[in-house]
Amino acid sequence: MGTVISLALPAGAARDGGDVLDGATAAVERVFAGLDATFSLYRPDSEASRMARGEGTLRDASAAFRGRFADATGWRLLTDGFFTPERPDGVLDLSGIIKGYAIDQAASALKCAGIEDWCLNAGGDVLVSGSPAPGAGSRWLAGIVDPQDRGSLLSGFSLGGAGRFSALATSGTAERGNHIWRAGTDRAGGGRAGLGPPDFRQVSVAAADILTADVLATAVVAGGRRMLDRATDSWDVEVLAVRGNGELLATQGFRA
Amino acid sequence: MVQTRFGAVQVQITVKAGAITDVTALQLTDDVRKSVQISNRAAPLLRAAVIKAQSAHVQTISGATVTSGAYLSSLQAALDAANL
Repeated sequence: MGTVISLALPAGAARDGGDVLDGATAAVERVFAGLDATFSLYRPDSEASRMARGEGTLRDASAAFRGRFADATGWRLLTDGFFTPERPDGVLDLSGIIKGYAIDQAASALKCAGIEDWCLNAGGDVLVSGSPAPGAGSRWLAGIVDPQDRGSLLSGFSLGGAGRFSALATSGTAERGNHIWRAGTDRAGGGRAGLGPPDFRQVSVAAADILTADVLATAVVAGGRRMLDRATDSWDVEVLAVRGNGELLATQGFRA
Repeated sequence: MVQTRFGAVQVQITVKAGAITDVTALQLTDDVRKSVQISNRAAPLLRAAVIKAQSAHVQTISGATVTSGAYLSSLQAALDAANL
């Protein structure tokens, strides 16, 4: 997937001879490596690359590929088309949903291994479970990068514990975001012409699950203010959006 | 009875000669907390008024997709190195 995965466990977890840490790392690696082999567009031999080259149709695709395609098209409906698994040139690209799905699957693997307290970060998208200090019951604290100065933090958000939110995803035009396409500006003859320049440089969404957080962050970057209002009206989420000029829009949960 | 993300909403309408003459709310959501916070739209916020976090106190960093190359100079990399 061309990204870096960081797994944090409470300090006590490593004291048991490192077994817990090694087991947790191996479980996460297996999930990401397995999905990468099928879905990476950076691997010419992956199923996703073959599909992108037009070698085969969805009817011939694996159950896993069709499953993620179904997930992505479901989200396209829910986001009024602002999240879409198709690039402007019509090529199928599931990258926008695979990272969130991989994080979700890694979470299942960690839970199956009996590991309850962890914080998993894949390329800036975060999912947590339990607490960084299980005895004290404190919550994981995630910092949000300032897109105007990537060496400093714009904000912070507490995740896990007794709170409603375990996931925080950030999308933006600042770094890569190559699975985000601005509707109307990129689609020749598309139905959403005249949207103008992108509203948001960076959008962070906190949600109960990582797929919702990740998909909605991507959709709001693509869809601007209209999709932002749709997201906060339709889902139980908190959003922090940074406009192109640096101004902030935030829901209540991001106010100090 | 309509299900919304804030809970069930039930209204009673009175119809006379084919026209609605009255609407009475029988139940406006079954969750007090959420019904108070019925709108959670994002509003403009000064940078000074957003929840702050010091990089020394966070356990993880959320940002727009970090590539393997960009990771090396990222805050997350510094954090990971500090906890090794």
